[in-house]
Amino acid sequence: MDLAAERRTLGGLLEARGVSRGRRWLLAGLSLAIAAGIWMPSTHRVFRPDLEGWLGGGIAPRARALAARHLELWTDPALREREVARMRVSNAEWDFMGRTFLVLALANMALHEPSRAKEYLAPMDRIIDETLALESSRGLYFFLMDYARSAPFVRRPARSLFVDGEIALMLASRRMVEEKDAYRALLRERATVILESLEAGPFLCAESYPDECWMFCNAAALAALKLQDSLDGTDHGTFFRKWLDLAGSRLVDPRTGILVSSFSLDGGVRDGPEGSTIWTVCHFLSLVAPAFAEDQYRRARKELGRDVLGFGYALEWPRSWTGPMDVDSGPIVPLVGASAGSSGQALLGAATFGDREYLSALLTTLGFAAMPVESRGALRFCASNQVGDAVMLYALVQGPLWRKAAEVRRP
Amino acid sequence: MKRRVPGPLTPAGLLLRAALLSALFFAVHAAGWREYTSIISGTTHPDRMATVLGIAYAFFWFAFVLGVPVLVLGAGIYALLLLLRRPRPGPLPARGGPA
Repeated sequence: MDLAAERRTLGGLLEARGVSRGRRWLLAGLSLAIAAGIWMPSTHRVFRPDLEGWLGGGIAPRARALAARHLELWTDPALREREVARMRVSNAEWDFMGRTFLVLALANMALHEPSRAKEYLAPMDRIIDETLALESSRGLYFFLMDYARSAPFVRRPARSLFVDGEIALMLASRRMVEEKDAYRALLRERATVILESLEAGPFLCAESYPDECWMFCNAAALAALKLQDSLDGTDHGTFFRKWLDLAGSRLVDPRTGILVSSFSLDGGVRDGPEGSTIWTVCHFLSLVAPAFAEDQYRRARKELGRDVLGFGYALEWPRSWTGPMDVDSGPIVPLVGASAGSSGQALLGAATFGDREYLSALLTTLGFAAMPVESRGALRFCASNQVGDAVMLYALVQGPLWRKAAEVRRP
Repeated sequence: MKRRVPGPLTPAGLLLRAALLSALFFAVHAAGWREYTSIISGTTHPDRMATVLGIAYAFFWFAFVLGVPVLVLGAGIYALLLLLRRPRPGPLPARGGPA
């Protein structure tokens, strides 16, 4: 066989016979570069979700599968203990926030499917009762990170708006689905404490940690008060307006116009605009001040939202602010700056404001990088944890609770 | 007769590496290491070994979904380029030449 014929056999081609080493380097490099140029922009197609499966009317199949996993956790004590222990090693807050987001998700699911409300109310009550019992028996610090003990709270007696706000949110959400007398007084007491704490602060914000106010917690508390207005006929409208005037003028980052994430009681900014805070803040504020919240979302989307080659993700910090990688951001991917914490919560922001394009890109990344596992009809993400999965579930089912609160005003 | 391992700079070499990466990925997947990938979200596992397994799984997963298709496609393109290359007349080098 002559050289030309030998080179054209399958073996000759596969082994690049008759090709010098230098030319092999060149051809291999060129081939791999072309292959990467073809594959990289196409990869997202493999992971792009069928949006109907995730967000289709009512409770979409994927959301139902995600919920099944959470309900399993609350019916299997051993499974739950393992999951909670795993989270508390990293952050005690996650144990608490996982409860809040799950209760919020279940409230929305109950409103989506009134005929199955009882199925959702039972775990909601179990979560709320256990959370209240833990707060009562283990104290304020049980759901806070250890550094909460490093200094005294400025306002006495010590209260954390993180705990008060989310407990109020859970109580109110449950009552929005169906009234429960035992929770009425509990919500009233909690709302009174919250309002007193907020009004005592010069910026109408309260501490979550000693001399540390978090926009996330303040927005959650406002949402709880708004739900109370709907449930009990209270009216916090004047307070909300004053809060918005102050926050909108004094607690926004001047370069991006985005609300800062943490600050001292006297308004000294600690952490600027932060992805792991702002997306959920936008969601909570959408109940209290929809136009302001939407403007914040658009700003966050511009500064923090990214869509590269069909994969959506979010930065923890805008380019104009240098901040650390911490327990809130989760690991930040070098070069692209993708933050697990911010990207997960971006789902909630995108779902709240109907940003389907970004939502689709974020869900694509979820399928690609969050390691989904489905077994016996229950979906979970191995790369996430219970609170992360609860945020995702909430993002997928949110809507009815806020709509009902905006529409219904009970005497 | 010994069977030679194809050099890395040949289409066969690229395919072999794609097969190796795939085999390693399927091995760690079958071993259940996907369970330990919560480190991606910053959730540390009480067992430090689990963190190592999670990082290893993530590496092989991304190598499988990003690297393997590029290697396979690259091998095909490489072979196509060889096929299209105009051969120069000359003696056929001995088999097993430099990789």
